[in-house]
Amino acid sequence: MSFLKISKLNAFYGDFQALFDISICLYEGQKIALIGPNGAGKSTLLRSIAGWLPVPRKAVKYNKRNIGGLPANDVVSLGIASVPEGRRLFPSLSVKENLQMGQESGRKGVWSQDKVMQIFPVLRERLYHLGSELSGGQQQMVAIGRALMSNPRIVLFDELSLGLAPKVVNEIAKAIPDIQKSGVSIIFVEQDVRRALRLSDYVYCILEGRINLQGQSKNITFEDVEAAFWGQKND
Amino acid sequence: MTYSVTRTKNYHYVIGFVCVVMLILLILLPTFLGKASLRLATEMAGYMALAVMWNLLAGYAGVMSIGQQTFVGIGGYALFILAGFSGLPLIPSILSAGIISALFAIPVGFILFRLNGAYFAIGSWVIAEIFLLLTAQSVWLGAGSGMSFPTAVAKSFGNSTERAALFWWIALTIAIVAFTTAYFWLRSSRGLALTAMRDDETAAASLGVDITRNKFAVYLLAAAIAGMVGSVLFLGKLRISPTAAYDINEWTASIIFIVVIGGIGRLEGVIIGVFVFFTLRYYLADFGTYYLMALGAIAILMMIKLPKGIWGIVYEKMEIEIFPLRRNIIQTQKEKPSHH
Amino acid sequence: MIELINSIVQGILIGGLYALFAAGLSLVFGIMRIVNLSHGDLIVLGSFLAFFTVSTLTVPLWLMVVIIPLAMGVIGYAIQRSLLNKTIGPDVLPPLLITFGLSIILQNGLLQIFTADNRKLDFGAIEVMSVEIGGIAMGWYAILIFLIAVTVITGLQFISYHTRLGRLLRATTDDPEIAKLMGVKTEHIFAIAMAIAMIICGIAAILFAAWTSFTPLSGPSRLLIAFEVVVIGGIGSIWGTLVGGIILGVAQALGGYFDPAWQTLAGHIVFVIILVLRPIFVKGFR
Repeated sequence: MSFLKISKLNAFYGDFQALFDISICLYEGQKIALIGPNGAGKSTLLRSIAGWLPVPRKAVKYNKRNIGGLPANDVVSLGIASVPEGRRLFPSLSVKENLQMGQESGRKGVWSQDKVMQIFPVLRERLYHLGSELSGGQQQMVAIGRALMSNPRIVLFDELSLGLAPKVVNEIAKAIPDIQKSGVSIIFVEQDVRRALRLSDYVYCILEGRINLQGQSKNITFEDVEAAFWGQKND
Repeated sequence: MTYSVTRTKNYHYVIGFVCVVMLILLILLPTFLGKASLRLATEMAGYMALAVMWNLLAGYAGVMSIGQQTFVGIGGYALFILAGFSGLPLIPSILSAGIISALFAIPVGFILFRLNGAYFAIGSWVIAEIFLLLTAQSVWLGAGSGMSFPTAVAKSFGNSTERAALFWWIALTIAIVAFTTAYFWLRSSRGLALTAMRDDETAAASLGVDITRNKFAVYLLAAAIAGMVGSVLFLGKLRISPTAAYDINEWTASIIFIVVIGGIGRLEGVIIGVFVFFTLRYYLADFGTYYLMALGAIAILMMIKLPKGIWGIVYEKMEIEIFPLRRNIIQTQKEKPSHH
Repeated sequence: MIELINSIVQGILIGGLYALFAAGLSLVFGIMRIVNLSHGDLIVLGSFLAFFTVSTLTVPLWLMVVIIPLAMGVIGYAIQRSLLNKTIGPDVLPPLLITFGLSIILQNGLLQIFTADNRKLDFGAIEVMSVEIGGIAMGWYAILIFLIAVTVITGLQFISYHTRLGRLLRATTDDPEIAKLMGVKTEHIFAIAMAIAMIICGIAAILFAAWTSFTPLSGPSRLLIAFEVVVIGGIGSIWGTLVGGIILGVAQALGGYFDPAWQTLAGHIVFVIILVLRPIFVKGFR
């Protein structure tokens, strides 16, 4: 049974409609990848779930509850955490304090500062540095750690690898099984189609605010995705 | 497909006609009204000019000044010195008062434009306080008690009825100049730049609009108008003192109230605002503190409930602009359906 | 000469009080980007509340000193929640105009209730006691004011960097959107920040009420002092407010030393000079 269900979601920025009738199902323990070109609406979709955008209450159903348009602070308290695009650490807070901010949702669980250090050991010696003093990869680790500190059931992951060296991305990707083991489902946005297919169980391709391809990641090839994107454009 | 760009709609010819009739009536006003009413009208015209300029500053250029009383005061004092004590004729004195205010605005603006947004606001108030305190220290300006306009010079402008009419025409001229300058400024390419500034400063900057220079120009214009308004209104009172000349409540708080009521960023709003303000003042001013508290409360309520003001609502509901600024694109030939 | 030094010392000590005026303004601006034009009038409100509780309600002094800052904190929280939270956004105009309206309401409300008479709190003997150090006479009350100011500012610094509340305040200052995403009720944090600012104002209001007399119209001069201190000391810097306060206090003391009428003016002029000499504020500060 799906425990996060988006149905017929339309989202707007002012007069501009960014999403059209998007429907998505997330099952427990699943990893969903969202792929699509820049400006297709992937981030908007994550923001709609996280409570940044005013969307109809019934458009997002989580654990049998309608949560669309709830304020972001309520959504995270229910167990949906975010790793925002561009990491967005608090620049004047230390790494330790940034992680502590993850606990503001008040959810209890297995995640602690120590456990984050176990999956990202490199952060151990940077604990008292300011968020703004870290490398991009380390910032991403803190952002992930910060999300996990809220002991979420779902992590919304905007841009897994953007602006990071492949080596760092692999290091981060290695932590994903550990994260999953704690009972976390993941929806992530990824620009690199091959990596998205490799890391996910299910994939949605979004183009101009609409889903135009979806399926089990193992059944979809890079060529299918390419055709989905280019095919639309040639119409 | 052919398009043409126009600002005017058909009803604007009607409005233009009404405007001309109104103008003639306004010029003939001294034949209908007595001295007291005429003085009130003079004051209204002065407030209108100040409000138009404040609206241009805050509503279009995003410059939040709560120190416009600086220039009202400078203009008032300049007139007393030039026309009252130096024998310069009235009209050149009033023009000079405007120029002197604008000249003072150059160094003042140079200092204030280092502060942004809200900090500009308080900074402008500090400057007004400095002028207030300096004036109160200046014996040659009558120090704290101020000065009276020489009776002999005042009499040379005519008897009190003739003076009231003369001051009315001057104030009316200033108001019309303020209004038309603001209007044509906003219609010009400079005005487009200002409107662009209001809508998006970064975008305007990326289009190569020199934001600071535009803001500065508006600031100087506003100072000049404020100086002339100050000169004619204090001439009407025949007395000036530092606390009256640099009064923030009189010259800025009321003006802000007028603009907020009418609608920030709407030229037409100012007219409505002036009438609302003077009506409230006429009926409620006797209640003193309660009246002022009511003004404060109304302004707060407006900002929260109707941030676009009365004219903003009219404009949104009916798409009416008395003074057309918006460009309408008119399709003069039917577009053929094209293939995608 | 000794009198000049006396004035300077006096200026330094009173600078502590000015820092207290400014700390709240700076805190609120840092977190919400709101410049509260009614800041000075709220301080004066605090002074009147202090005066009223002591003289009319005959509450003992020690109790009043506890009650007033707390009451101010509650008022600050309420104002933020009911009025100012509605206006937080990229546009600086609405909060500025609303606090301006509030300022007019407060001034006239106080005028209506307390009339325009000069008032002053009476702290008794401590106001006139002084101690002589190296030939310089320092009033105990001025020293007390300075010590309280340093304590309050140290306390604010401690809260900022060593408590959960401080972490929430700094995080919200950095990025309110992400703070909310982490589960922080930012509306509440904004109101808490305003409450802290008003508690500090309450302390300053009591101290100032016994230092000089005040009327319902004293607010704007308090606001301008607070504003000048913030700009001189550097926006958002807690210790900067103490530095700014001392600079302004000394400037006013020197002005007043040469001519009493120049006291306030000297402060304003030093502010303008520092503003001209400091190109830091050129553009780009939102």
